[in-house]
Amino acid sequence: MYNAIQETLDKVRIGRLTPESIRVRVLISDMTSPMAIPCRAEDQADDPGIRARGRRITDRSIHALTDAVQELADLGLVKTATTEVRVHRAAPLFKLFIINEQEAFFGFYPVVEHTVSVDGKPMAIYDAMGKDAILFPFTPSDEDASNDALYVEQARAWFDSMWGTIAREYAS
Amino acid sequence: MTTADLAKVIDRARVILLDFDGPVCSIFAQHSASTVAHELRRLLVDQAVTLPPEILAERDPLAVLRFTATLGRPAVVRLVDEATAREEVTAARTAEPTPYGREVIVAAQQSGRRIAVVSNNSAASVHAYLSARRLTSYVHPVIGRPEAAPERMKPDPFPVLAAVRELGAEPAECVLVGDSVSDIEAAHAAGVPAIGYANKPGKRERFAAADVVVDSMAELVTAFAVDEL
Repeated sequence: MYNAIQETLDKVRIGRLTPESIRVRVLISDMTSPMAIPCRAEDQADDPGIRARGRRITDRSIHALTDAVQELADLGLVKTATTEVRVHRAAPLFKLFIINEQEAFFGFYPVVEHTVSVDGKPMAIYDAMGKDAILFPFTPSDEDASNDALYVEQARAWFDSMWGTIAREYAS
Repeated sequence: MTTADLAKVIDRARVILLDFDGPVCSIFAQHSASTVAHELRRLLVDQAVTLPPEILAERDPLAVLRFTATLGRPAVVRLVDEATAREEVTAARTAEPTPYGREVIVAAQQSGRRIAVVSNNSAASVHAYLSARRLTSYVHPVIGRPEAAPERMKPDPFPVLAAVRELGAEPAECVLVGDSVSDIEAAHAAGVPAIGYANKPGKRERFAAADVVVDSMAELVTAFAVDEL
C-alpha cells in the first residue's frame, strides 16, 4: 500500500509536485477480528496467531505511510498533511486506490496458500496475495464521459459509505 | 546426524517423495486398522485359506494383504486387494493430518520443489484424502499400491521407480520421506536418498540406514528455508 503512493510522495519531496495539502484516508481490514482470510489452511478456521502476524504486517505498512506523509509537512513542503486510518471487519479481497477524486486503480487479491511462521511454528495459511496484483486504471479523459468516470464516482461513493458506516478507528 | 545433514539432503532434492500413512496423515486414526485386518481375514477364511498364527494376530491390513501373495491364488489376491482399497477410502475420510505434514507439502512447493506421494495404500484413498484437504494440486503423481500385486509394494523399489519415471527425474535428485524401514529400503533400492520420520519412540534406532532421521515434520519445513519463515 505504501509502495503505491511512494513515487508520488517522492515527487513532492524533490519538488516535482507542489501540492498545498495532502490528505490520505486508508481503509483496511481489522486484524483484531476473525475474517474469512487470513485463516488456517488445514481446517479453514480463524486463528488469533495468524491475525497477529497480519496485524504486524499491516502496522508496519501504515506506520511507513503515516511517517512519509508527515515528513513532507515537517519539511515544510506542504502546508498540511494528514493520514487517517480506519478498519472494517470485511476480509481483504481487493485493493482500490482513488486519487483526488479523479482516478481510480483496482486490483484483485487472489487467495493463496503459503507456509508462514506463527508463534514460532510453521503453519500453512490461506492469505490474500496483493504483491503481484495487476492494477486496472480508471482514468477518465475530458472527451470520455463514459465508464471510467462512472467507475471513479462509484468507487468514491463505495469508499465513503464504508468509511461512514461500518469502519472504526484504527488503534495502532 | 545433524541439522546440517538434513540441510545437505534437502538442498540436493528437487523432488520430495512422501510416504502417505505417517508423513501426510494417520489414515487409520478413526477407522481402526485392526478391524480392517480382521475383515480381510474373514474374507480369506471364506475362501478356505488356512491362516498361520502370525497372520491371525496381525493388526496391519497390509501385512494380511502381503500374505495373500504367498498363496498362489491370483483371484484371492485381487479380492483382498480390492476389499483393502475400499476400506482405505473409507478410512481416508476420517484420517488425521500429521502435524506439519501440510506445511511440508506447501513449503516444498513454495521452494520450487515437486511433490509426489508413494504409498502402499491405494491411490484412490490418497486422492480422497488430498481432495478433501484441498491438497490435490500440489501433488503429482500419486503412486498407490500396485494393483493386485502386493509383492511389489515397498520395500520393493517398483512404486518409487514409477514415481521417479513419471516425473522424468533422476533418482539422486529425489528424496523419500517415510516412517517405516520398508520405505528406506525401497528408496535405497531405487537409488533415492531416504529421510526417516521417527514418529514413534524406538523408530529412530531402526532407521540406521536412513540418510537422515527427523522426529518432526516441522524440521523439514525449516530445511526448505522459505522466505516467509
